[in-house]
Amino acid sequence: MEFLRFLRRAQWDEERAREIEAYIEQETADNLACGMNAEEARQAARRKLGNAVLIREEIYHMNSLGAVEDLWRDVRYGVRALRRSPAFTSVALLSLALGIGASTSIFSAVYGILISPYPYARSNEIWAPEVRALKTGRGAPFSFHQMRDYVELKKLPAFAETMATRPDRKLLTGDRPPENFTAVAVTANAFQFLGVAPVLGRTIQPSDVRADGQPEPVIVITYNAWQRLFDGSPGALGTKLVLDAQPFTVIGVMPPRFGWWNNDGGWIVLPEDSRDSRGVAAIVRLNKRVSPKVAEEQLQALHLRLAKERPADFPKDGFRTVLHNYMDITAVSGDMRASLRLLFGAVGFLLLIACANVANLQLARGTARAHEIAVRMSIGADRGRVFRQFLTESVTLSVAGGVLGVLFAFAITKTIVAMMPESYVPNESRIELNVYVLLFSAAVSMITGIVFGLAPALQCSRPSLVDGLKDGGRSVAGGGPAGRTRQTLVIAEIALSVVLLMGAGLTVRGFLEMQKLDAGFRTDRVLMLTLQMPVKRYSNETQRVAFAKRVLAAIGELPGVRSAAIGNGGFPFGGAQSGYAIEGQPNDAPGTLLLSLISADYPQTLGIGLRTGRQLTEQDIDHAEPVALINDAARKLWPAGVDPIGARVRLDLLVRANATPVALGRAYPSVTVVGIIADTRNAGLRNPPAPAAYLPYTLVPVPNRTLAIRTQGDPAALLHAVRERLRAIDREQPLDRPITLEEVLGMEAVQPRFNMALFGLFGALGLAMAAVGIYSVLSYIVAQRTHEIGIRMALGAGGRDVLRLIFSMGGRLVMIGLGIGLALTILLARLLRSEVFQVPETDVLALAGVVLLLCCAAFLACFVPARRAARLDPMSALRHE
Amino acid sequence: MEHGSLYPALHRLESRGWVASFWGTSENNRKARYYRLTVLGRKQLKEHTSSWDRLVHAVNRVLRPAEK
Repeated sequence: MEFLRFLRRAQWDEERAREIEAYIEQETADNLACGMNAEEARQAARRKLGNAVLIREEIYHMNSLGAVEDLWRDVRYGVRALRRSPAFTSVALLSLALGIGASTSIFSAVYGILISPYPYARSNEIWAPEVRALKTGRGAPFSFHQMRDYVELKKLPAFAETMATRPDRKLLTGDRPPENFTAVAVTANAFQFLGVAPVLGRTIQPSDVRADGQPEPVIVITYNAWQRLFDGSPGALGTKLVLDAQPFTVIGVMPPRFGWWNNDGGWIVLPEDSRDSRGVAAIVRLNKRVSPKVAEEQLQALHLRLAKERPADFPKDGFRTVLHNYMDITAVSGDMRASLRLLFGAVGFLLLIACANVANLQLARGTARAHEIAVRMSIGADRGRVFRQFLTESVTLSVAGGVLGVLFAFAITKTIVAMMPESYVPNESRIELNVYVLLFSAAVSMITGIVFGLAPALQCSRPSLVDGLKDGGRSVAGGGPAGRTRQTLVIAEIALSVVLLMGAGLTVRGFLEMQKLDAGFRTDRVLMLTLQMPVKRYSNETQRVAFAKRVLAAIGELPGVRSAAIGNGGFPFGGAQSGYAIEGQPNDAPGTLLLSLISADYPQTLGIGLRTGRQLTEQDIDHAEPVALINDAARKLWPAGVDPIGARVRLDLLVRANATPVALGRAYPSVTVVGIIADTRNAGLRNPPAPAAYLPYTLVPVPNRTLAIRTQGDPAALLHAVRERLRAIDREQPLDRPITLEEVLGMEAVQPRFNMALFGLFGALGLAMAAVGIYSVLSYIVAQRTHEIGIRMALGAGGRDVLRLIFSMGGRLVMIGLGIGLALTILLARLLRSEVFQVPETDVLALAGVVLLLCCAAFLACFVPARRAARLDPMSALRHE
Repeated sequence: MEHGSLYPALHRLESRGWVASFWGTSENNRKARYYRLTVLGRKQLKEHTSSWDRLVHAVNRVLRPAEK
């Protein structure tokens, strides 16, 4: 009933207005009849009636639900007021949106990658052991434990739980197109250790190891494999996957986020065989009340014992054992971690700055409206009413800003996820918009907006109206502690944005540098391809070599192919690392050599120049001669003046190669250097070349061979022909997509590009915020000093003088901020450079760019309030009070 | 007393449903709004009148005995 009346209140109002009108006409007519003239008659009628407007208002109020009515009016008034000052509104909205959006999305990324990357049970209690050489401090490869060591390790009293993993790839055949399938072997207790439930079926259980120690042929598959191979059908359970000619029964499917060592293959059973000498990676949980230090000691004792038995497997000159908490050894590389942390700090500031900006803007606006408030109150608005009106306006603004901020947070998070280089974050980490943080940032910035929006209302709704009416512009501008705080905030903003911008400049430079970098080989028109040679079908080295040669010959014949070569390892990056000893040289600096297994055409195919000596010949390859090429970096391992050619180098890897399942006819522990070739960026584009040796591929039997094919035209055009040839020779070769060398190099650039984009984005945000800050503080000052400016103009100051006055105030802030920012950058430069950027020194170009950009932004920010001041009409400015 | 203050009162009565109003033509041929008591209004009136009477009566009994 009440509500109905509320809805019909306008109609009622009209009705009453007509009624009152009718009354007046009636009265007037009566008065006329009494002999008054027209004017008198109407006035007398009005007098008799009283204040028609008041009556209508009274009735209107009777019909209305007071609070709703006022709220609605205030909101409308607020929106109108906000629209009247578009500069203020857009700047405040932008501040809120950027502050909320940026801080939330970056925190979401940090949370997903650094804080909570794993879905595993108690993942912060998982430890992984590492053996570190005392001299170099370098760690041994992750799988330095052999299965038989793991069996011993498991017995150590410090550990409550242990598990071992052995990554492996198998050839998936059967009735499907052959493909390389990642089948990670895990000990039977692994899934209990990790504590993640399957989405379908069951996980591997201890009962999956038979009484005789043999594993059951069962496989738990990843969510991706389930989708890819079975279209996500529950019928997948119980079907068989043929891996390396052995059928495995699918027993379970893991959730998408479970990515233990792989996220597109599966997990099979790894039996704990005390005679198994192949590598595994062990992780442990400690017993209660056992410190990591005690556990390290126990492990070290075990390692010392093992090192006595098998010295070749451990660093030569002593080592120590370290336990790493699993949260610290995420796949997040140092680069990514450092840049995320840096960004995290930066966005924290960004949120603060956003709040400060909004506060400043609201204060400036409130001051400018002090007069309005006083007028409203003197014509009858009560304190509560004014307070409510300001509250509504602030809330309207803050809510709009908050909504924009949330949208913005979604957009930035999406962008970050899209740009995030996959290989730099753990399989398991998921970046999702963190709702709590979103709520937090939204609440903080909105509350700031509201509180500071109310401040002027509180200030002005004091009882003495006369003061309020008079007070327009008397306070001393920018003075007092509050003014100083505001200016300090702005200076901090400017300094921060300088640091961010310098960072952005450095990342851009770093990225461009990398694009120009000479990889040491010709990267264009090279196709890469992997040959699979399962032990079952290629059981001896002769078969393997014959297969590789047939493939090389068949592909070499293809029209459009310049040359084809084998280049295992070091192609183009990484490769097997091996300890070495140069015969006749003191072995004082133990290090490793990168080993590449190549065919004779390799240097030619990749365009690597020969420095001295000779190339490997077909003869060397065919007879698996123990000869080697080394690169320039390796040449430096010999003292100056000593010619490495003809020297013999003992390689640990060759000693160990005997243990591989494919037996070699002969085994050589040493090779003779026959030639030196140019350096390539074999340790990644951003790192200096590592010393490397190139051996005939026939020397070491490995289960697959990497092929490099140089083409005359576009390598992509040859993809199909190459595959066909391969299939003609071996029907079971997997059809992995061959990749071009340029694509591989492109992946190297993903991380720098990510850094560049993020820092660029945040540099721009910081700049925008700083500009907003300058704008808000100057606006505030101009609003406060309107009266003073009026006096100056009345005394003869021109618009230009006023402009100069405001610009000099803004300029002072900018200069101080710029100075502090540059000083900070120089202080931080070392940290930034070593952790995030590979730029040799702070470059002048970036510096000049930053200064220019900042000055432009600052100019714009000063210009708006300065122009407002300059355009003041001195008369109205004086009357401002 | 200003005649205008009658309107809010009438409006209140009408919104409570005690009077009904309609536009009509006055005796000198002008448009005017007429008000009439509704059934509910009559009841209210009776109630209030009787309570008024009681009040008057009570007051009278307090004031008058001395005169008798």
